[in-house]
Amino acid sequence: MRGINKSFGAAHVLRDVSFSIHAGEVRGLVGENGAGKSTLIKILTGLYSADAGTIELEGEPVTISSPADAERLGIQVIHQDRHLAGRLTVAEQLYLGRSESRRGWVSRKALNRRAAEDLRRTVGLEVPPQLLVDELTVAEQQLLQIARAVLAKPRLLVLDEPTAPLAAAEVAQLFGTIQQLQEADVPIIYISHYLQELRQISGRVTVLRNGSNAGDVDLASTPDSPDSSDSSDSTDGLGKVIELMVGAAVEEFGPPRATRHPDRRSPALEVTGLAVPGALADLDLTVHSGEILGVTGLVGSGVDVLADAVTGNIAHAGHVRLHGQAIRSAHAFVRASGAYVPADRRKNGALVRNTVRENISLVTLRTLSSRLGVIHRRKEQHVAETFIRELDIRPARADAVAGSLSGGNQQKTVLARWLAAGSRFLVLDQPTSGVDVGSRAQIYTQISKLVDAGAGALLVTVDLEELVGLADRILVFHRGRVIAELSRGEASTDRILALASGTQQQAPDSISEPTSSLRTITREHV
Amino acid sequence: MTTDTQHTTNPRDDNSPDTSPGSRTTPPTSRISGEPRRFRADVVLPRLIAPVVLAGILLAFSALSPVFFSSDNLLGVLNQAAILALVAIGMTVVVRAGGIDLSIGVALDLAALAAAAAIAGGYRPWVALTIGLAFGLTVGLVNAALIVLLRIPSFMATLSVWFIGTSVQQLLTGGGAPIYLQKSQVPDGFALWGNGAVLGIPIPLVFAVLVAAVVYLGLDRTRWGRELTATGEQRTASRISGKRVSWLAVSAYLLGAALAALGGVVLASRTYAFIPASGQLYVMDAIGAVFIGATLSRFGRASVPGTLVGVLIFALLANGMNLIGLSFFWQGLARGVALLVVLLLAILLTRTTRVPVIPPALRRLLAPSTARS
Repeated sequence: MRGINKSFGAAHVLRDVSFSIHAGEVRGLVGENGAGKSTLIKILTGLYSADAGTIELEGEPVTISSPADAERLGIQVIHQDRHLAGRLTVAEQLYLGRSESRRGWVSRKALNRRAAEDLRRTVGLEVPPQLLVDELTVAEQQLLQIARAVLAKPRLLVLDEPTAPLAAAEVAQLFGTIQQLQEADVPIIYISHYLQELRQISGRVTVLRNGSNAGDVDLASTPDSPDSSDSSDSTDGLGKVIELMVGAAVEEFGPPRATRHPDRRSPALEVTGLAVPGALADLDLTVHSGEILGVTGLVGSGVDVLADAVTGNIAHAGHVRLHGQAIRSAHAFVRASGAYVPADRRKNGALVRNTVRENISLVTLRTLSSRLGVIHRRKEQHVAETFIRELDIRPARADAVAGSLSGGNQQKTVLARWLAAGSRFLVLDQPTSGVDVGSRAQIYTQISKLVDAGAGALLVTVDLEELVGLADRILVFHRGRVIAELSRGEASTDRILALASGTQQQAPDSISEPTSSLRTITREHV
Repeated sequence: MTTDTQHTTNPRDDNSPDTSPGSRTTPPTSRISGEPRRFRADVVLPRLIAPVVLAGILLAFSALSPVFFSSDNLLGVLNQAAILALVAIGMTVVVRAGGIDLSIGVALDLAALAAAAAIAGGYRPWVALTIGLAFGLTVGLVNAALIVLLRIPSFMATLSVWFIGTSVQQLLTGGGAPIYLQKSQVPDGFALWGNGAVLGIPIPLVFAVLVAAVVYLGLDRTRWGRELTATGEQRTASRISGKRVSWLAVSAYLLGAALAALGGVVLASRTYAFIPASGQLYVMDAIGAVFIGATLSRFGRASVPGTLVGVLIFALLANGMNLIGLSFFWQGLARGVALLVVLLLAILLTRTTRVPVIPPALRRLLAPSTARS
């Protein structure tokens, strides 16, 4: 791929990105969220078309304008989110759309026998082929999908975060499969946030940042910096990779504000023994009034369900208390003065088919209506206009349809809903994903203002700059557990990324001395 | 706070000149605040289709039949349409809450059955009304339990209740035999509800107008209506905002059944009888009217005024066709065509916009497996 460009509206997502891979090579592709990895892969598979640039496969220029083209050219992709038909059996899914299912008179028995064999041979998966795909675990589904791709005898295989749902043994099996393919000269593009894995299976890593090539790193030959005596031996070129990935500095958040002094005696949110099957294991955490607790982790680390769990929106084991009240439902959370800005803004945040006014007043309706429940239109309008002005929501019209606003303005509308309700605790899940820089700054200002005034906040984010810039304390999650706690002073994006991606060889349970034992990759060492 | 930081940042060697370190996404696009509202043909025109069709029907039958546009005839049509209006308004509430109620005819039937039986048993009119409403509400309660507690998609749950309820009435009436009331044994107080008039306005029509006004205000002016609408459109978002989404759904199914039950009592009063399975005639008309009416909203949202337009279209079609001597058997065809014309025109005219004519509520029903979160 050479000189690939892609824009969505005003957003230039890829700028002159080039990428090449040899037969039998496993090439890592890394970059922060939003760096352009997914877009690049979607261009390769025909889901998007590039605005400029060329693609060559085995020396031949090719045009890929649809997923069907990609399939015909032998490009197989395992996407991060699984695309399986849950109501098919394992065997049916394995051969779906391939000649085997078109023959018409295939005996089920023979099909199942072949499927069992193929699964065992390619990915070492032992499941009855007549099970429904829905009945498999996430990891088994993942392996099934990989087996399906391998059976297609691909000329290029793309794996996007393939190990996120997998346990260690399954990862080992997958690496075995990758090695087989490598010996068969199949080039493999391997996308992962788990940098440690890249070192095991790939020679070179291509780093994207802000939609451009940030550089290639040869993991085998890049030496570690000579003076890194206290760093573990396992880092190799990974430090360089992290440096290239993070690049941009934290100064986006303006001059550092005075350190807050949260009231340690008054816990706002208390979580004990929180567990969500397959995602979080036995979590304890406390957020005090007047502090922002930042939480981060990769896909599969469990942070993605944390916000839903503490706000009473998914079933879980363990106890959650907010301002002393037990939280057993979303309703109870809101009654205890909690606010939740969810990650999926269009689905769960903004009411997209309602006006901005109706969105802002949603939580406040009780105080805006008479005893009979009749809404005072004028009061409601006044509240809406106040917060439209306060957060600079554009267009500045209370009767604009929320779904027609830009992502940033939608998010400000959702935040306004909670500000209007006078919430004293914020749970923010990826609050600025897909939000433009201007709105982002306004959102940060509002959050800081509220917390400075004594509210507590739990910030779940994969945006490390946001995390370091906003949070007073940071928890890093890895595969369902907290593996490190960092204070504001000791947190840097490099270090968090190293922790989250499991680069550091650290048993999950040995987090007694986070400050002394976690000094492996910091900026000075690279 | 964000834009001038590149001066203070230690510049990295690999930043191309046009990429500032801070801007990882879109540069802030300048949007004009308070942009004026423009006339959008693709937004406005689809909403006019149903009223235009209604006007067209009025004009056409006025030209075809001399009697049609007389006040006596039109008042008669409205009176005839009153029961359908009650049922359809109940359906409007359910659809607004993101569901559908196919069993609403059973609520009507059981209410009519109970009221007729009570009158036949010599009870007073108010007792008959109360018993009728209680029977109807029972159907609503069963629906609510199936949908909210057991999480069965409303389409399937109410379909099952309709099957069961149909059978129940047949069993209760000894195989579907109608209950006829002797006019002499019916107290005036009961007969009035279906046949009386206030200041020349038939009482069923008075009921329909009052109910329409109250439900309209309830849906569009109160906290309950606002929260019900939000829940119907985005259940999870409403739950996250602290709304009691289950109770809101329960209230919708109960209100829907109660309004159908009121229609049932009025029907029993008007006909001096209970005729099994007569409620079924209203269900499909009510659904049709609600979805014709939904085209009046820019969000494809079910509303009382819209539903009334749909009810009037159906009622005037039936009356006009009778007057010009068309066989009863043409009426289904006419209704189907009217529904299709309104929906198709609305879809064609909205094709350029993102605003769908088919409300999300209906789309969810068509794919029941994703109906609940």
